[in-house]
Amino acid sequence: MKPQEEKDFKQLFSSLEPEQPSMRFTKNVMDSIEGLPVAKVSKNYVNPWIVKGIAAMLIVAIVVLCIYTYTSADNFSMPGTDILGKLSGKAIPYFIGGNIIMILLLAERWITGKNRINNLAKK
Amino acid sequence: MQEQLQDTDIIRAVLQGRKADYAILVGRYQSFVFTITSRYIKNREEAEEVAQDIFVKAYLSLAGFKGNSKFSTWLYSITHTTCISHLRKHKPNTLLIDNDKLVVYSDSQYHSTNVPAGTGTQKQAINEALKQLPDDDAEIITLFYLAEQSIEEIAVITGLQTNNVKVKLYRARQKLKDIIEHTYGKEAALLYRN
Repeated sequence: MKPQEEKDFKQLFSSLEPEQPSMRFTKNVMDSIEGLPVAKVSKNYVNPWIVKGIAAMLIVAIVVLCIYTYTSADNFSMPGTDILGKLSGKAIPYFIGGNIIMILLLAERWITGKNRINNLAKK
Repeated sequence: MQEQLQDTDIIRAVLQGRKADYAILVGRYQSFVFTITSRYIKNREEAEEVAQDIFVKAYLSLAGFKGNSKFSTWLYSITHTTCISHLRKHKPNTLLIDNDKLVVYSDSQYHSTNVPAGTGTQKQAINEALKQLPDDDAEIITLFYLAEQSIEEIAVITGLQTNNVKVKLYRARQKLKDIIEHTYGKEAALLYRN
Protein backbone atom coordinates (compact mmCIF):
# COMPACT_ATOMS: atom_id res chain seq x y z
CA MET A 1 0.00 0.00 0.00
CA LYS A 2 1.20 3.47 -0.77
CA PRO A 3 2.51 5.43 2.22
CA GLN A 4 -0.11 8.15 1.72
CA GLU A 5 -2.89 5.59 1.65
CA GLU A 6 -1.51 3.98 4.79
CA LYS A 7 -1.37 7.38 6.43
CA ASP A 8 -4.94 8.10 5.35
CA PHE A 9 -6.13 4.85 6.86
CA LYS A 10 -4.34 5.46 10.13
CA GLN A 11 -5.91 8.89 10.28
CA LEU A 12 -9.28 7.41 9.44
CA PHE A 13 -9.13 4.99 12.34
CA SER A 14 -7.45 7.35 14.77
CA SER A 15 -10.82 8.91 15.48
CA LEU A 16 -12.57 5.56 15.80
CA GLU A 17 -13.23 4.14 19.22
CA PRO A 18 -14.23 0.63 20.12
CA GLU A 19 -17.90 0.01 20.77
CA GLN A 20 -18.93 0.02 24.38
CA PRO A 21 -21.07 -2.73 25.88
CA SER A 22 -23.76 -2.04 28.44
CA MET A 23 -22.94 -0.61 31.85
CA ARG A 24 -23.74 -3.93 33.53
CA PHE A 25 -21.20 -5.86 31.44
CA THR A 26 -18.49 -6.16 34.07
CA LYS A 27 -21.00 -6.95 36.80
CA ASN A 28 -22.59 -9.65 34.65
CA VAL A 29 -19.19 -11.25 34.05
CA MET A 30 -18.26 -11.13 37.74
CA ASP A 31 -21.65 -12.60 38.67
CA SER A 32 -21.07 -15.41 36.15
CA ILE A 33 -17.69 -16.34 37.60
CA GLU A 34 -18.94 -16.19 41.16
CA GLY A 35 -18.38 -19.59 42.65
CA LEU A 36 -16.43 -20.82 39.63
CA PRO A 37 -12.91 -21.96 40.41
CA VAL A 38 -10.06 -21.15 38.12
CA ALA A 39 -9.06 -24.38 36.40
CA LYS A 40 -5.72 -25.66 37.51
CA VAL A 41 -3.10 -26.11 34.86
CA SER A 42 -3.04 -29.77 33.90
CA LYS A 43 0.66 -30.06 34.56
CA ASN A 44 0.00 -29.42 38.23
CA TYR A 45 -2.02 -32.57 38.71
CA VAL A 46 -0.87 -34.79 35.87
CA ASN A 47 2.74 -35.87 36.08
CA PRO A 48 4.21 -35.42 32.59
CA TRP A 49 6.55 -38.33 33.16
CA ILE A 50 3.57 -40.64 33.51
CA VAL A 51 2.23 -39.48 30.15
CA LYS A 52 5.64 -39.91 28.53
CA GLY A 53 6.03 -43.31 30.11
CA ILE A 54 2.71 -44.56 28.76
CA ALA A 55 3.57 -43.23 25.30
CA ALA A 56 6.99 -44.91 25.40
CA MET A 57 5.42 -48.22 26.46
CA LEU A 58 2.98 -48.10 23.57
CA ILE A 59 5.69 -47.30 21.02
CA VAL A 60 7.97 -50.05 22.34
CA ALA A 61 5.09 -52.54 22.30
CA ILE A 62 4.28 -51.70 18.67
CA VAL A 63 7.93 -51.96 17.59
CA VAL A 64 8.45 -55.29 19.39
CA LEU A 65 5.26 -56.67 17.89
CA CYS A 66 6.33 -55.67 14.38
CA ILE A 67 9.79 -57.14 14.75
CA TYR A 68 8.45 -60.39 16.21
CA THR A 69 5.84 -60.72 13.49
CA TYR A 70 8.24 -60.13 10.62
CA THR A 71 10.96 -62.39 11.98
CA SER A 72 8.84 -65.31 13.08
CA ALA A 73 6.55 -65.71 10.07
CA ASP A 74 7.54 -67.24 6.74
CA ASN A 75 6.36 -65.30 3.68
CA PHE A 76 4.61 -62.85 5.91
CA SER A 77 2.11 -60.61 4.18
CA MET A 78 -0.85 -58.79 5.56
CA PRO A 79 -3.78 -58.44 3.21
CA GLY A 80 -4.05 -55.06 1.60
CA THR A 81 -0.63 -53.90 2.72
CA ASP A 82 1.40 -55.11 -0.24
CA ILE A 83 1.42 -51.59 -1.63
CA LEU A 84 5.11 -51.48 -2.37
CA GLY A 85 4.87 -54.76 -4.24
CA LYS A 86 2.33 -53.29 -6.61
CA LEU A 87 4.54 -50.37 -7.47
CA SER A 88 7.10 -50.64 -10.19
CA GLY A 89 10.77 -50.50 -9.24
CA LYS A 90 11.19 -46.89 -10.32
CA ALA A 91 8.13 -45.66 -8.46
CA ILE A 92 9.22 -46.85 -5.05
CA PRO A 93 11.91 -44.17 -4.47
CA TYR A 94 9.47 -41.46 -5.54
CA PHE A 95 6.84 -42.90 -3.23
CA ILE A 96 9.23 -42.96 -0.29
CA GLY A 97 10.61 -39.53 -1.21
CA GLY A 98 7.09 -38.06 -1.34
CA ASN A 99 6.34 -39.41 2.12
CA ILE A 100 9.58 -37.98 3.50
CA ILE A 101 8.79 -34.57 2.00
CA MET A 102 5.30 -34.60 3.54
CA ILE A 103 6.72 -35.53 6.94
CA LEU A 104 9.27 -32.71 6.71
CA LEU A 105 6.57 -30.20 5.72
CA LEU A 106 4.40 -31.22 8.65
CA ALA A 107 7.36 -31.01 11.01
CA GLU A 108 8.29 -27.56 9.68
CA ARG A 109 4.73 -26.33 10.12
CA TRP A 110 4.63 -27.63 13.68
CA ILE A 111 7.97 -26.07 14.61
CA THR A 112 7.04 -22.78 12.94
CA GLY A 113 3.82 -22.66 14.91
CA LYS A 114 5.67 -23.14 18.20
CA ASN A 115 8.32 -20.56 17.27
CA ARG A 116 5.68 -18.00 16.31
CA ILE A 117 4.33 -17.96 19.82
CA ASN A 118 7.79 -17.99 21.41
CA ASN A 119 8.91 -15.08 19.23
CA LEU A 120 5.97 -13.01 20.41
CA ALA A 121 7.19 -13.45 23.97
CA LYS A 122 10.64 -12.15 23.06
CA LYS A 123 9.30 -8.88 21.65
CA MET B 1 -3.05 3.01 40.64
CA GLN B 2 -5.09 0.45 38.70
CA GLU B 3 -3.71 1.68 35.32
CA GLN B 4 -0.19 1.00 36.57
CA LEU B 5 -0.95 -2.64 37.23
CA GLN B 6 0.30 -4.91 34.48
CA ASP B 7 -1.94 -7.61 33.14
CA THR B 8 0.40 -10.28 34.46
CA ASP B 9 0.23 -8.80 37.98
CA ILE B 10 -3.54 -8.88 37.90
CA ILE B 11 -3.56 -12.45 36.61
CA ARG B 12 -1.19 -13.51 39.38
CA ALA B 13 -3.45 -11.89 41.96
CA VAL B 14 -6.55 -13.61 40.57
CA LEU B 15 -4.81 -17.00 40.58
CA GLN B 16 -3.85 -16.40 44.19
CA GLY B 17 -7.48 -15.99 45.09
CA ARG B 18 -8.22 -12.30 44.64
CA LYS B 19 -11.07 -12.88 42.24
CA ALA B 20 -12.31 -9.29 42.44
CA ASP B 21 -9.19 -8.13 40.57
CA TYR B 22 -10.47 -9.87 37.47
CA ALA B 23 -12.93 -7.00 37.11
CA ILE B 24 -9.94 -4.77 36.25
CA LEU B 25 -9.06 -6.97 33.29
CA VAL B 26 -12.69 -7.09 32.20
CA GLY B 27 -12.97 -3.32 32.37
CA ARG B 28 -9.73 -2.91 30.47
CA TYR B 29 -10.61 -5.16 27.54
CA GLN B 30 -14.41 -5.34 27.45
CA SER B 31 -14.78 -2.75 24.70
CA PHE B 32 -12.25 -4.41 22.39
CA VAL B 33 -13.67 -7.88 22.95
CA PHE B 34 -17.18 -6.58 22.40
CA THR B 35 -16.14 -4.75 19.23
CA ILE B 36 -14.43 -7.83 17.77
CA THR B 37 -17.42 -9.96 18.70
CA SER B 38 -19.72 -7.43 17.03
CA ARG B 39 -17.83 -7.93 13.77
CA TYR B 40 -19.15 -11.50 13.70
CA ILE B 41 -22.45 -11.19 15.55
CA LYS B 42 -24.52 -8.30 14.33
CA ASN B 43 -27.19 -8.49 17.01
CA ARG B 44 -26.01 -6.29 19.88
CA GLU B 45 -27.58 -8.26 22.72
CA GLU B 46 -26.31 -11.54 21.35
CA ALA B 47 -22.82 -10.08 20.83
CA GLU B 48 -22.79 -8.87 24.43
CA GLU B 49 -23.79 -12.31 25.70
CA VAL B 50 -21.04 -13.96 23.69
CA ALA B 51 -18.52 -11.37 24.87
CA GLN B 52 -19.47 -12.14 28.48
CA ASP B 53 -19.02 -15.86 27.77
CA ILE B 54 -15.56 -15.08 26.39
CA PHE B 55 -14.50 -13.46 29.62
CA VAL B 56 -15.89 -16.37 31.62
CA LYS B 57 -13.92 -18.80 29.42
CA ALA B 58 -10.81 -16.67 29.84
CA TYR B 59 -11.26 -16.72 33.61
CA LEU B 60 -11.63 -20.50 33.68
CA SER B 61 -8.50 -20.89 31.51
CA LEU B 62 -6.48 -18.20 33.26
CA ALA B 63 -4.03 -20.66 34.76
CA GLY B 64 -3.19 -21.79 31.23
CA PHE B 65 -1.96 -18.36 30.19
CA LYS B 66 1.76 -18.94 30.01
CA GLY B 67 2.86 -15.37 29.31
CA ASN B 68 4.37 -16.30 25.92
CA SER B 69 2.34 -13.52 24.35
CA LYS B 70 0.48 -10.44 25.51
CA PHE B 71 -2.64 -11.11 27.51
CA SER B 72 -4.62 -9.18 24.90
CA THR B 73 -3.40 -11.53 22.14
CA TRP B 74 -4.40 -14.55 24.20
CA LEU B 75 -7.78 -13.03 25.00
CA TYR B 76 -8.45 -12.12 21.37
CA SER B 77 -7.56 -15.69 20.35
CA ILE B 78 -10.31 -16.93 22.66
CA THR B 79 -12.60 -14.25 21.21
CA HIS B 80 -11.88 -15.39 17.66
CA THR B 81 -12.45 -19.10 18.29
CA THR B 82 -15.55 -18.47 20.39
CA CYS B 83 -17.13 -16.29 17.69
CA ILE B 84 -16.39 -18.86 15.00
CA SER B 85 -17.87 -21.64 17.16
CA HIS B 86 -20.92 -19.56 17.94
CA LEU B 87 -21.56 -18.84 14.27
CA ARG B 88 -21.22 -22.52 13.40
CA LYS B 89 -23.76 -23.48 16.04
CA HIS B 90 -26.16 -20.67 15.27
CA LYS B 91 -25.82 -20.41 11.54
CA PRO B 92 -28.42 -17.91 10.32
CA ASN B 93 -30.52 -18.62 7.25
CA THR B 94 -28.75 -16.22 4.96
CA LEU B 95 -27.51 -16.43 1.45
CA LEU B 96 -23.79 -17.11 1.25
CA ILE B 97 -21.92 -14.34 -0.49
CA ASP B 98 -18.66 -14.85 -2.27
CA ASN B 99 -16.14 -12.87 -0.26
CA ASP B 100 -14.25 -11.93 -3.41
CA LYS B 101 -17.19 -9.96 -4.66
CA LEU B 102 -17.85 -6.68 -2.99
CA VAL B 103 -21.53 -6.51 -2.17
CA VAL B 104 -22.58 -3.00 -1.27
CA TYR B 105 -26.18 -2.40 -0.41
CA SER B 106 -27.43 1.12 -0.34
CA ASP B 107 -29.29 2.45 2.61
CA SER B 108 -31.03 5.68 1.86
CA GLN B 109 -29.92 7.07 5.20
CA TYR B 110 -26.24 6.58 4.44
CA HIS B 111 -26.15 6.71 0.67
CA SER B 112 -25.52 10.38 0.81
CA THR B 113 -23.10 12.53 -1.06
CA ASN B 114 -22.83 14.79 1.92
CA VAL B 115 -20.33 13.66 4.50
CA PRO B 116 -21.72 15.16 7.67
CA ALA B 117 -19.39 17.26 9.68
CA GLY B 118 -18.65 16.28 13.25
CA THR B 119 -16.71 13.30 14.47
CA GLY B 120 -19.81 11.51 15.85
CA THR B 121 -21.42 10.91 12.49
CA GLN B 122 -18.06 10.24 10.86
CA LYS B 123 -17.45 7.45 13.35
CA GLN B 124 -20.88 6.18 12.55
CA ALA B 125 -20.06 6.29 8.84
CA ILE B 126 -16.85 4.32 9.34
CA ASN B 127 -18.62 1.80 11.57
CA GLU B 128 -21.31 1.35 8.95
CA ALA B 129 -18.64 0.81 6.28
CA LEU B 130 -16.96 -1.79 8.51
CA LYS B 131 -20.28 -3.62 8.91
CA GLN B 132 -20.41 -4.07 5.15
CA LEU B 133 -17.12 -5.94 5.11
CA PRO B 134 -17.01 -9.73 5.45
CA ASP B 135 -16.69 -10.78 9.10
CA ASP B 136 -13.10 -11.92 8.95
CA ASP B 137 -11.96 -8.79 7.09
CA ALA B 138 -13.71 -6.56 9.61
CA GLU B 139 -12.05 -8.51 12.42
CA ILE B 140 -8.57 -8.09 10.97
CA ILE B 141 -9.10 -4.35 10.43
CA THR B 142 -10.35 -4.05 14.02
CA LEU B 143 -7.45 -6.04 15.45
CA PHE B 144 -4.85 -4.07 13.51
CA TYR B 145 -6.13 -0.52 13.83
CA LEU B 146 -8.26 -0.51 16.96
CA ALA B 147 -6.75 -3.20 19.12
CA GLU B 148 -3.24 -2.35 17.83
CA GLN B 149 -2.14 -5.93 17.36
CA SER B 150 0.84 -6.61 15.14
CA ILE B 151 0.68 -8.80 12.05
CA GLU B 152 2.39 -11.62 13.93
CA GLU B 153 -0.06 -11.35 16.80
CA ILE B 154 -3.02 -11.35 14.41
CA ALA B 155 -1.55 -14.47 12.81
CA VAL B 156 -1.54 -16.18 16.21
CA ILE B 157 -5.08 -15.00 17.00
CA THR B 158 -6.60 -16.11 13.71
CA GLY B 159 -4.43 -19.18 13.12
CA LEU B 160 -3.33 -17.89 9.73
CA GLN B 161 0.18 -17.58 8.36
CA THR B 162 1.77 -14.14 8.66
CA ASN B 163 1.82 -13.67 4.88
CA ASN B 164 -1.87 -14.55 4.69
CA VAL B 165 -2.66 -11.92 7.30
CA LYS B 166 -0.75 -9.29 5.31
CA VAL B 167 -2.66 -10.16 2.16
CA LYS B 168 -6.03 -10.23 3.95
CA LEU B 169 -5.32 -6.90 5.61
CA TYR B 170 -4.37 -5.32 2.30
CA ARG B 171 -7.51 -6.66 0.62
CA ALA B 172 -9.71 -5.63 3.55
CA ARG B 173 -8.37 -2.08 3.34
CA GLN B 174 -9.03 -1.97 -0.38
CA LYS B 175 -12.57 -3.20 0.11
CA LEU B 176 -13.18 -0.67 2.88
CA LYS B 177 -11.83 2.09 0.71
CA ASP B 178 -14.10 1.01 -2.13
CA ILE B 179 -17.11 0.95 0.19
CA ILE B 180 -16.38 4.43 1.50
CA GLU B 181 -15.77 5.87 -1.96
CA HIS B 182 -18.86 4.16 -3.36
CA THR B 183 -21.02 5.46 -0.53
CA TYR B 184 -19.67 8.97 -0.26
CA GLY B 185 -18.14 9.61 -3.65
CA LYS B 186 -15.93 12.67 -3.78
CA GLU B 187 -16.67 13.54 -0.17
CA ALA B 188 -14.95 10.33 0.93
CA ALA B 189 -11.72 12.31 1.19
CA LEU B 190 -13.33 14.36 3.98
CA LEU B 191 -13.56 11.22 6.09
CA TYR B 192 -9.81 10.80 5.92
CA ARG B 193 -8.91 14.35 6.65
CA ASN B 194 -11.35 15.26 9.44
